[in-house]
Amino acid sequence: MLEKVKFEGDQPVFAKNLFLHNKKKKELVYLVIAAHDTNIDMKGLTNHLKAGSGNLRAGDQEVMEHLLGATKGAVNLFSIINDAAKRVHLIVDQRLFDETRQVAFHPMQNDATTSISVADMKKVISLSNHEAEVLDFSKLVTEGAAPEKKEEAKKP
Amino acid sequence: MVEPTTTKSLTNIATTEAFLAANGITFKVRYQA
Repeated sequence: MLEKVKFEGDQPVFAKNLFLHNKKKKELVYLVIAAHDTNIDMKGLTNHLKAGSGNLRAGDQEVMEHLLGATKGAVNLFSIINDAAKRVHLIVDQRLFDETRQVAFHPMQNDATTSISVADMKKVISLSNHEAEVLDFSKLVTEGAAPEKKEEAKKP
Repeated sequence: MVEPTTTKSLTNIATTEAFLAANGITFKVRYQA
């Protein structure tokens, strides 16, 4: 079961993990798990979560430690297991489920990285008794972006 | 309002590995140099 080896061959996608809250309603807290190269448009995410302009912010470190048991720089998918009271809303990048096989997270400390399969990632979420909201962040970007300018036909 | 418990089952790499192993989850670990 336990393998302590270098990642070789089936390279995992590294996840970025964001702990966010609504600064006006601090009871609304979010753990966002996305592929490292997914663009997270904060305005689009704010709109999606109906948080109100400028209200979606990085969550307080103390709250993160209290709810998820994770220290600064080490928040990760596994920490959702610690949220027994289900206070944290979990949002997962659709790309992780659709485009990857292995995903890497810090195992509660940021001097190591643990790789698990996408199927096991879903299992961890299930064991946490949370329901993940699977989100296509590219659509958020589209919603938040200015409309594309059409090139005017050049006159000869 | 009832405060959530402050007892966290996952606190470090050892408890995370134990949790994964106990639930039949295969994993690989890379330690930073």
